[in-house]
Amino acid sequence: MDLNEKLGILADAAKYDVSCSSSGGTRKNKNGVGDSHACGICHTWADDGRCVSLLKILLSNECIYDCVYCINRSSNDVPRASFTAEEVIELTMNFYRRNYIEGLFLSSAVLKNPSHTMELMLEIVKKLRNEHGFFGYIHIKAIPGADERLINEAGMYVDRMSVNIELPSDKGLEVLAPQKPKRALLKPMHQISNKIIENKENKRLFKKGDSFVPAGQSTQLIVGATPDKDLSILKLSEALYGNFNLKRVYYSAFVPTVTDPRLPALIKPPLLREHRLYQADWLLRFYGFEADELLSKSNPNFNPELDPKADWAMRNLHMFPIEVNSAEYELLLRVPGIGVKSAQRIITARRVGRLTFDNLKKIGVVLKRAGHFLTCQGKTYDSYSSNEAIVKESLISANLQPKSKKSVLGQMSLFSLVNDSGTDENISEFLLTDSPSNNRQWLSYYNQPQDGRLLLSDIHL
Amino acid sequence: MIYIYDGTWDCFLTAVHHYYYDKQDVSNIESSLCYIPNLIDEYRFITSDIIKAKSVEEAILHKISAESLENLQKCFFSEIEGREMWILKYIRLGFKIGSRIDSMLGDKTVLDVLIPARKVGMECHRMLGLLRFELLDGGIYYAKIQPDHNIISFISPHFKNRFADQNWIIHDTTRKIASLYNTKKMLLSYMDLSNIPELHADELRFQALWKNYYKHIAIKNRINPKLQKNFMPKRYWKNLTEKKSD
Repeated sequence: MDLNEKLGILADAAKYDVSCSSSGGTRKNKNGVGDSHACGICHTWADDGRCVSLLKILLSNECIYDCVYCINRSSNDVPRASFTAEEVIELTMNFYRRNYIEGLFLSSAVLKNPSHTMELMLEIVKKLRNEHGFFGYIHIKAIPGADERLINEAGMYVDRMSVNIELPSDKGLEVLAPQKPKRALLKPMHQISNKIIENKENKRLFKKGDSFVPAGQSTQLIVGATPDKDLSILKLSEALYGNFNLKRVYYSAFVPTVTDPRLPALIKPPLLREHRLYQADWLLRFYGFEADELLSKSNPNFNPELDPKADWAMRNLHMFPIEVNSAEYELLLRVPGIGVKSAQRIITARRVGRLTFDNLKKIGVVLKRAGHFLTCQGKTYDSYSSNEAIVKESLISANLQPKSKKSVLGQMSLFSLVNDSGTDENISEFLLTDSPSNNRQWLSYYNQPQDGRLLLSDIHL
Repeated sequence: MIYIYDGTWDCFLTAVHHYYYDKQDVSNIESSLCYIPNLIDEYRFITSDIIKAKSVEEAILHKISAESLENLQKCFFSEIEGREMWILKYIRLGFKIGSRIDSMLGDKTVLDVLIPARKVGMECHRMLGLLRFELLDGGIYYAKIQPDHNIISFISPHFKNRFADQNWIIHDTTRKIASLYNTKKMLLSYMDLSNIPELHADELRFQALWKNYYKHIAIKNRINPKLQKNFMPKRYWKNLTEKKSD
């Protein structure tokens, strides 16, 4: 089978893995090729609107397991292929040198047995780092059940490692992935988490040595393949962030790739539900919310009409309106229409003068939403109302603006998430704090006379 | 009085210096590349003076802040029409109130500079990902870009760091300028379009592999062209290997 054909099969097999982030890396180029960018870089966007930052492929899709939801299940009739180590390396190096990708995301079906698979993956990352001088980002999947030593060794070469938790409950796993009990999935997660802490501690004490999984670990779970409620999913995420120090939990709307009587008969993947979970996840990590504030036993699923923050605000109207010029940062963050960036800008701008609604608009606050929850120097906004029904109506219509970028559903990339949490800001801008700092000296090149044109033939590379 | 400068940052700063020391009433500062003279206005042509320019830069740095200087530079290289006077107004206000200006995020004078600067920042960040190198004969990686703003000087250091062991050229074909790197030194210069070497024999093979990969990673049940274009505007597609029509 030629490389092109293999690439097609193994890209197809990997595309349901959601993680695409390349952020948090600290690896610096040391006389080789590649470098990590602290905030990650998206290199392209696929036709489904998801960003591509890493070459995301499976090493092999020849799986010994038969998980019901998975396209690579052993009983599924799909073309099978496996890369050699050299092929993965050739693709990674050549794609990287052309700036197609930020690095490699290597996952695999379980070939023969977990340790064997892990060993093959380890060989690839070792060669990339040691023989090819590759300093780009590498994310690999830890294969549950693989020898601990293999996972530990791999962690020394990669930037991020992840174990997919697959389904939100033990019961779901029992039915749909009987070969993967939750215990077996949590074990490597726990191991990685401990090792990260231990490594940090060692680095603090001895101030040297390689970093173990410096960009942290992440996981992914499938939404909509089991009857689990949003509340239990969000509680699980909260626990994963709290107990295992996970960097990210990814949610993937179940896309039926195989039919089976044990799977729900979905016509369309539950994209809106996935979207709401991302919004809520963002609220957990950056806005100081807790899962129990957003959902409850009597109200265990997200409101399809309102984003989780607006929904929370509607249930807590008694706390509002708050005064922009004096409210604490934590409270500003809770206002629909104010995101992390605009809250920070408010705090900054407040230092030099009192703010008006006009100022807020310029700062990037979406007054259409926030106007119901704020006062500026004691005054309320034009469209302010304390009537619950009117506020709700207006929040819903603000969400449905046809021209608004944030109303586009189904994006899983990092870039959309701040937008999606009901704010007006753009994450790229938020992340752009570390633009090249040494550009000042470059500016003087513009002062070369126009007639001093350089021809390629004049350059001796 | 209208000041005409040659379009460069240093010459622009020289004009700012003249504005302060000659105490003339300046109604506009225009680049010689785009000004159209009329009979009524009075013009003065500014010649670049590196010492004057640097002293203005130092003054911004010390009397205002490094953050402001960076924003002013980004705004300048946005090439958005009218930026010269926005920058001048910002500097005037900055000299009065100092680094407090960086916090005045609701103020019009500040936003006139900040918004173009943010656009430049945004495009810089995008271009770090959306730039594509092609391997040419002789082992040179060549990338063609046509950004909205003049960002080449802001993005080149990133690639110097990342592709330290490659020979590469980033070529802004709209503005006919390029940054070049030979694994030791980087330089920025005007560059003609002619005599660019042929593609390396391997190049088309990897382009085909990348296109094939790109085609396969999209999930068919979730096709969403509108979302795709939100993040990757169509105007960038002509230089993207995976989107280029052959």
